[in-house]
Amino acid sequence: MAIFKKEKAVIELIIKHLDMVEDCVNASLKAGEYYLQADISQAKGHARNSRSFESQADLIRHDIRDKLYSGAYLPHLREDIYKLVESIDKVGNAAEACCDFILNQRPAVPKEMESHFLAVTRVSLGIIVSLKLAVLCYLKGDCKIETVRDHTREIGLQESQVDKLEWDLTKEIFISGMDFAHKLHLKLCLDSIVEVSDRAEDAGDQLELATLKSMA
Amino acid sequence: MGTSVGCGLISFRNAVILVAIFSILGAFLQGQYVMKTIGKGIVKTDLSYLAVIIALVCSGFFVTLATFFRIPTSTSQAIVGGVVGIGLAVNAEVDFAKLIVIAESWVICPVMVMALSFGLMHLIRFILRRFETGSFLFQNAMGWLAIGSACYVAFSMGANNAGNAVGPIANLGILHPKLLLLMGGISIAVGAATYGKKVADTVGKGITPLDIPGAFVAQISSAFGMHFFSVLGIPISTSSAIVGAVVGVGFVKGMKAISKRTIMTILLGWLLTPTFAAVASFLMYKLIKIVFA
Repeated sequence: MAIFKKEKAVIELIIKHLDMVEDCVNASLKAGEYYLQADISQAKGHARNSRSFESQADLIRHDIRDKLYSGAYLPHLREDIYKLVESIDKVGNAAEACCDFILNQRPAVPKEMESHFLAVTRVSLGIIVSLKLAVLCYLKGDCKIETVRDHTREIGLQESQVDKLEWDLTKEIFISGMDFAHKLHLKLCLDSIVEVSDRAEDAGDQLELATLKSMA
Repeated sequence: MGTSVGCGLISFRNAVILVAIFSILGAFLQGQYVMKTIGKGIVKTDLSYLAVIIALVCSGFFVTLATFFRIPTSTSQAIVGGVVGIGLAVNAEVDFAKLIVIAESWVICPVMVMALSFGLMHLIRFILRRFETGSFLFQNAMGWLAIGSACYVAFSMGANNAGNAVGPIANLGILHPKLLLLMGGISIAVGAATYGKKVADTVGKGITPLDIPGAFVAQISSAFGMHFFSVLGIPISTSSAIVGAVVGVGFVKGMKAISKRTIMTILLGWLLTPTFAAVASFLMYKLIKIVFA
């Protein structure tokens, strides 16, 4: 259809941006997994990929912004669309920051905590799957609003799961016999891991807001 | 365009541009029906220059005054009031039967439009809930529909109000009626650009906050009502049609969504504007005659 060509182009770019953010998060997840398995060279390779995907996502985000403010969509929608894109982009930024933290600061994770760190990393960064599902469901317009909201609820539930794991692991870190500096370093590492799911939850909230606005 | 500006669909500047284009078109293409009614339909005698000027000045003054106080008043009611007042002052034959029909339409039009927007809003809600899709593309399409309906409002407003404004001078034979209507349309555009912002705020936000489907329904209903009466040659209150439509949408959302205080202010404006315009033009004519006799 000839109408709404610019608008459809923006939707395609948002989907491309989402794919890039997903690739970035997945690369970060792999980097984290390899780091915990002490395979630093593999971890570094994936971290480089993560950085590259994040940079590409940024370029697409700028393209979306330019298209929006050069006339795609009515003014009242532009802000909502760009806020959603920005919030998705922050998930990618958080994943890249997590990678950087691990590979620049190399936190020494004790053997007994490795599986717990691995679990929290997988759940926190794995949240991108639900986020992508929710966003695609909404953007393509072939889901009912209630289905989109079910997906955003799923993001919230996953984030709560991450919170629970974070709480347990924080406790485990601080009751261990490590020196205080080591404890704080691991806590900072944990914070950077859970930041990804926090940002994904924000993106889910932004999406839910857009769906609420569309309901008459 | 007040409803479209109110729900953030379009900037006030762009709204003014669209109002200018469509009100001029409406005035030029369909303003002649109402112009005939105002020109010779109510007061059967040819009025003098002085009488016409007084009728127009008094009507214009009260419309400007009400607009200044953010009351969406009616130009039609003010003009009809002014023409009747001057007709009585010059002892001309006033067609009260016609006047009653016009006054009845001031009640029928908002009620009809309210019922239409109430029904249409239910229908739109039913459709939206059935398909339950709210993607950005869908919202964008709804937005364009709302802007399109706002253009229809401007067209209908031009068809009705331009005829009102230039009706009294049409019989003086100064200019060709089409040229007068064109001037009427341009004047509506100038009015929208200067004082329109205040009324846009009242209609768009003051009565009931509108979402985009609500704005679309309110605008298409009011435009239809105005167009219908314009073709019949009846000068109706465009603001009463718009307010009626907005209230109809508000009823679907529930009575709490409607600001009763705003409605009361508007009703007071409708009652007082034609009365003041009639009394003022009657008294001013008599005063001028006494002074210059």
